[in-house]
Amino acid sequence: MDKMEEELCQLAELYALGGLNETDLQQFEAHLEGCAACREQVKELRKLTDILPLAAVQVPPPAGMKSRVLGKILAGREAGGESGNPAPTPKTINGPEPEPEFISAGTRNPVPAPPPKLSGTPAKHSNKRLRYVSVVLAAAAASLTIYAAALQRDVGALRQELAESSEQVSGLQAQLALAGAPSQELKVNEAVQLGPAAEDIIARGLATIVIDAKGTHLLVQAEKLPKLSGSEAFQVWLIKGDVKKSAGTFLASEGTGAMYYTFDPQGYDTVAITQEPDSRGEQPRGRLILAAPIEG
Amino acid sequence: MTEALDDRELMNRIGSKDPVALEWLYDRYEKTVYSFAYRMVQDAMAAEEVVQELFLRVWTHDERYDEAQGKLTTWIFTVTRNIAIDMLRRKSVRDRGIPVEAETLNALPDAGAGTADQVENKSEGEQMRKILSVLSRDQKQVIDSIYYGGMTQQEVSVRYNIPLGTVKSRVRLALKQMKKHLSVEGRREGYHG
Repeated sequence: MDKMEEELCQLAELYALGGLNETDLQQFEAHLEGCAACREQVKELRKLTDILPLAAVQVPPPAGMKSRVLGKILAGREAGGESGNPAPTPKTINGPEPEPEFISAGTRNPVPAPPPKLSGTPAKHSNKRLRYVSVVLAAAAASLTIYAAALQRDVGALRQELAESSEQVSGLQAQLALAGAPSQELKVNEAVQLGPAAEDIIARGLATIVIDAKGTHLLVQAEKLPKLSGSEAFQVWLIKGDVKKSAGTFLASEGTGAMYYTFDPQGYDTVAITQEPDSRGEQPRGRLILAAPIEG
Repeated sequence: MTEALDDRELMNRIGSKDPVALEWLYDRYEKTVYSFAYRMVQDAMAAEEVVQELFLRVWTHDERYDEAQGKLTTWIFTVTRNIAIDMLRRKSVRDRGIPVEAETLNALPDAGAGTADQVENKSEGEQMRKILSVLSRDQKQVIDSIYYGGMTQQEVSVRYNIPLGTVKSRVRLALKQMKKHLSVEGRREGYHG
């Protein structure tokens, strides 16, 4: 085996895990065709990677998700009409192209296959058949009207989204212009000591809220923080009643860490620091380390 | 797990546009697929979009399941992961921060009360979490970023400033270790991969 092939053998794990880019993927798949050892290895590794999704912590789906998901799919089906056999599936927003067999039922070729129970020669039943065809056509026309109306609603919603996006862009541009400028007239609005959330925690910290022309900023410093392991991180939360908003994450160096966050004052009542399993959570999952009441 | 209809029969009936069969499939996979999608996109709304797209593809046959490729569960997870990766690449959902449910601090993960028909796989999930927990911090980081974060080895290398060779060796070592533990756990709990 030459060196190149040997190097490709080293990619089996990344392949099974799904970590190869397009170029590597093509090369490895070509290699796989001729390398029985890699095929065997990938097969073995797949037993492991196939069940990796199950390691995800079970999260209850949002209320009403089932009816929304199935409703959208099946509404698409009904909007296309029930005339043909098989039922046509209209193109939905973001959806795939309808399959040719389905197009033929509704639009391109308006004559459907004869109903299965018809017997005898077509001429003998031409009247009956004609009636059937017109019923089908009427149903198809009606469903197309419904479908068109649904599309118009979608277009309307998209236009609105576009208008909102442009508003956001101008807002962001204004912020961007400010971002480059040095701080002026920075005023401390509030400074609170962060207290340990449990007796065995020796950490302490300071949360300061400062205001300048760019907005309201939260500065958090903490020391004697517990040691992090794995992909753990500290996360700062701004809390108002039951609602917790992440203000960002930070890592500590020898127990000392700090972070900075610009926010819209929303009457937050508490600032808290938790120790999280990773830095990607949007709601607290870990242990509460420090907290203090604020008037942010 | 008891199954009224096996996966193949269910997929055949969905192929002939039977909405009841779609609902059955949905009920069977909802929780598992949603949890996996949530793990990847870290956002309730985005995770629901992933689930929506998955079942749309199943219904429209945009993605076709071929029995020869293996179990339906595996196929469903693969399609789910692809959709989630597309979404992660399209928009950075992580920055949106729209908490749907106000969980309490230190909330314990839901123990998962699935019906018999749900693909619950609770013990497999626990087993997998146990296996992941033996990895070192560095190993966990690469597995996490690649599998759940949808990154390529090159992206991991840049993001965490680790040489590409190191990313590769960490992945190899991590999977090797996990495989070893899987077979140990498998023997203990009678799991047949």
